[in-house]
Amino acid sequence: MQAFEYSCPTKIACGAHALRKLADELRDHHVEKPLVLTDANLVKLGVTRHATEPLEEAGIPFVTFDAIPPDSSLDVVNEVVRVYLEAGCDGFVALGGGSVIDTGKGAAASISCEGEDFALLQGAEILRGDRPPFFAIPTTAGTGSEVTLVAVVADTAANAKLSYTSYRLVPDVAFLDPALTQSLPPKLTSTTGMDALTHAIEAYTSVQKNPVSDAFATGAIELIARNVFTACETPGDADARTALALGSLMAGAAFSNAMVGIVHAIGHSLGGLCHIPHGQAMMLLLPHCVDWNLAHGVHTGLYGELLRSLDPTRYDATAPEGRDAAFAAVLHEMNAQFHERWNVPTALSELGIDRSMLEQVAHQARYDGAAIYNTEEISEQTALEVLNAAW
Amino acid sequence: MVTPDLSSSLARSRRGLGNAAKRLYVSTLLGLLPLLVSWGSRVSSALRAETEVLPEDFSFAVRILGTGQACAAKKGASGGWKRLPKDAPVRYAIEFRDIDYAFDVFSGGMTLQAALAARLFSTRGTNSEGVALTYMFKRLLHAFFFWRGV
Repeated sequence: MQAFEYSCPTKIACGAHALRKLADELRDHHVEKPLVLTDANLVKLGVTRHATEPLEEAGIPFVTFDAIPPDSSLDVVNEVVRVYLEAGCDGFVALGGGSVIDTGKGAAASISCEGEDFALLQGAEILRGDRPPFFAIPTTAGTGSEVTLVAVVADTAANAKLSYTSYRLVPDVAFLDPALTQSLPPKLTSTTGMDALTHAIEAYTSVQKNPVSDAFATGAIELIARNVFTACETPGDADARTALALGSLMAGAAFSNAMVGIVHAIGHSLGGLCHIPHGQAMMLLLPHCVDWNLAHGVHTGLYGELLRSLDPTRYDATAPEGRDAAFAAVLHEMNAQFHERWNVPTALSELGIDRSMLEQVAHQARYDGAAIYNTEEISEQTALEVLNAAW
Repeated sequence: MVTPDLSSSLARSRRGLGNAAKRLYVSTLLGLLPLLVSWGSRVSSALRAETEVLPEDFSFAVRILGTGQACAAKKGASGGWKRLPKDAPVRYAIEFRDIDYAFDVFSGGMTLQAALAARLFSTRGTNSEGVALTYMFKRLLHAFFFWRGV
């Protein structure tokens, strides 16, 4: 067995009304004045109050910062650090999607490094100091950031996504409360759900895969596949929402330890250069990357194993030698359903991207941080072939 | 009366000699690294293609934690690599967590990607440059240890 490390120290509070435990968890971590990070839209929709009301009722003072955009940047991280220090806060509560949680992680890490330029802290395992207590409350079921050691922040000047990995970025407590995701429209539910599915699939096929991450990955795929369409059809279904959120978390735990690969390498590049939302990019690219891999003999057999989790009925009905192809077919069918039923774009050409950009996207994908965890080296030609197939 | 365990002390002594040999080997290789990259870039188009991606003045260090062994180098205008003082600030650093891990990689016993997967070293610096550096080392190690399947 290949040597590996696995770490997921995050406490998970999952289920209806899980956020009623927030005040108690803050007290348990000796946090007396948290900085609540969120975005203006979540405040407007009333989602943020699911976290702030329990704090008010418990008499815990807090400061709110709601100016985090969907594609956060180093400037926002620095602004959060300034507000945190000026207000005398002693912990973070990050309520939102990946952008909010990753901004919080960046700010917490920056504070732990005592003013060192956050832009210079990229890499793996470079953060050494203790960071403030961190509580993550995801409002989408996709990034898994509530349990991962990764933070992705945009460098707007360079049109690139900067990524940071450190065990010290893993949140202390994650809250999965279905009330937070029930207002998500089908389009966002599907794209974020496919982001989570991509995390699990890429974790299972990464060079850093290990038996523990594999168990989380397959469990995540089952939960996501069983619940993503129900959550789109019936947004208020608390059980489906909870299961999808848990699937996303488990996929996060898997890829936080096993890392990802070609889909993310190309997706990060698309996000940085063409500003395609991350979940949308994952949904678009995943089936085409699987097609490319299978056509070149990459991950043969592994995808077939995952068919058991993705579609158990199809797995039982398919001969072993046909399961890889059946796995790819199921992914294409899922995208087709999202497109037909909820008008979710499933081709790059639908997103208004200039096709002449694809070569630049392919070049940047080759040098993305996720690329080195891909079993096969990603050439620009490979990335370009995938992008053209997804066009 | 306690009898000294001669077999275990012999094993310790052999292990000590083995470690000294590994340290010497790794030190030698680190010492030659800038030269090997410069020379390799001239004779191998694959290696040259990877070094060309890195900008002029790009600098890197390879360190072995706990041993004080290190090598730092900087890319010059001509594409050649020049040695820097081993504690010089660099744009990208690779820090092996043990001498055995560095030895395994530098002797072709393990690929850099496999070492990364097992978290045998940590990195500091911009991801894109780290990936380019990984490709560069991969080509370099392959040139020397292709016969070991690296």
